[in-house]
Amino acid sequence: MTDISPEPSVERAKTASFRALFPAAELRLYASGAVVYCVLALLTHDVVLNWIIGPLFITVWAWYIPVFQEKWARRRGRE
Amino acid sequence: MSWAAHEFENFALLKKFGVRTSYLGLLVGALGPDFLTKAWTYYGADNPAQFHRGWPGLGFTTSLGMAVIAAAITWKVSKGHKAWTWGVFIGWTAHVLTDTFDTAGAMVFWPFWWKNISFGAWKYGAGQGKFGDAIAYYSSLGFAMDLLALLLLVVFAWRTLSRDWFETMVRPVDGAWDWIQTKFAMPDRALLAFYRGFFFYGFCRFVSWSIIVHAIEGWPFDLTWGSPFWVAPYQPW
Repeated sequence: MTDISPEPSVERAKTASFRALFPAAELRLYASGAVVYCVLALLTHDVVLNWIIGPLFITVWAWYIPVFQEKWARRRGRE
Repeated sequence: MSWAAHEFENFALLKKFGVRTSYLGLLVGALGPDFLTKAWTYYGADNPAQFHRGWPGLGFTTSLGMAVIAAAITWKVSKGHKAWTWGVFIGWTAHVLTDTFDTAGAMVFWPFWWKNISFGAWKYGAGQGKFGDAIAYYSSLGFAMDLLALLLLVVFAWRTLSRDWFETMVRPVDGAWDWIQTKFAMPDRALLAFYRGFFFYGFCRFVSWSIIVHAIEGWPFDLTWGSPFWVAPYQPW
């Protein structure tokens, strides 16, 4: 996922609509991360529910899932 | 004690105080009181409430006096970084005030007044162990506190979670963001996710514990003042 949204600005931050500030692809990325993390939490109870693993999980998720998606798309494009 | 409310309130404070405040400073302040005490409260203390919130114990860490001390240390260490100093003070203060809602309360005015201030909205449950504490908290008005904090954030401060807000009002205030990005070679989207991380964690924590406590373990809600009924009444030390 490449960053294609407009250049950030204070004006946009204060006045733009929800849809403009939160692109659908980004919402899908975070929603999928939340589902996976909550399922892990339900399976392990409090093992993953802590203030180190929680924030790190979404950081790594938002970092690498788009990379895997792009690799997967390129691979499918070649086939 | 409060759970996810501590994660949510930082973003509302960021909306309120804007570029005067470092988000990372807020985070350090909000986590500070529990970081100093929480593990011992669950796993080492004979009297968790006294150890965590009282005296003799580490109750003074949850006080406005300690917020001032933490801010002064931050001022010294950061060589006078105002946004960090202000952030630590505001975050620590918010934590202290939020913790006054349970039955143990907090030594708010330490060192001038060593008594705890408590509104007694829900029972302090750390004496039940971490799992028991979660059951007590998410069955009581603590659940309502987390839900209220989440709703306030979603209604009044949702813009603070946007990339535009982060890039124009959070990152420029605090050089630590550039340091983190460079140090870990993070793309912008990962740094943004790190910024949103405690909202994500707070939201998932709230949802997951609510499901575990009520849908899986089958505990009932008791949303009365001073709930839940199955936790023994709080005994002052």
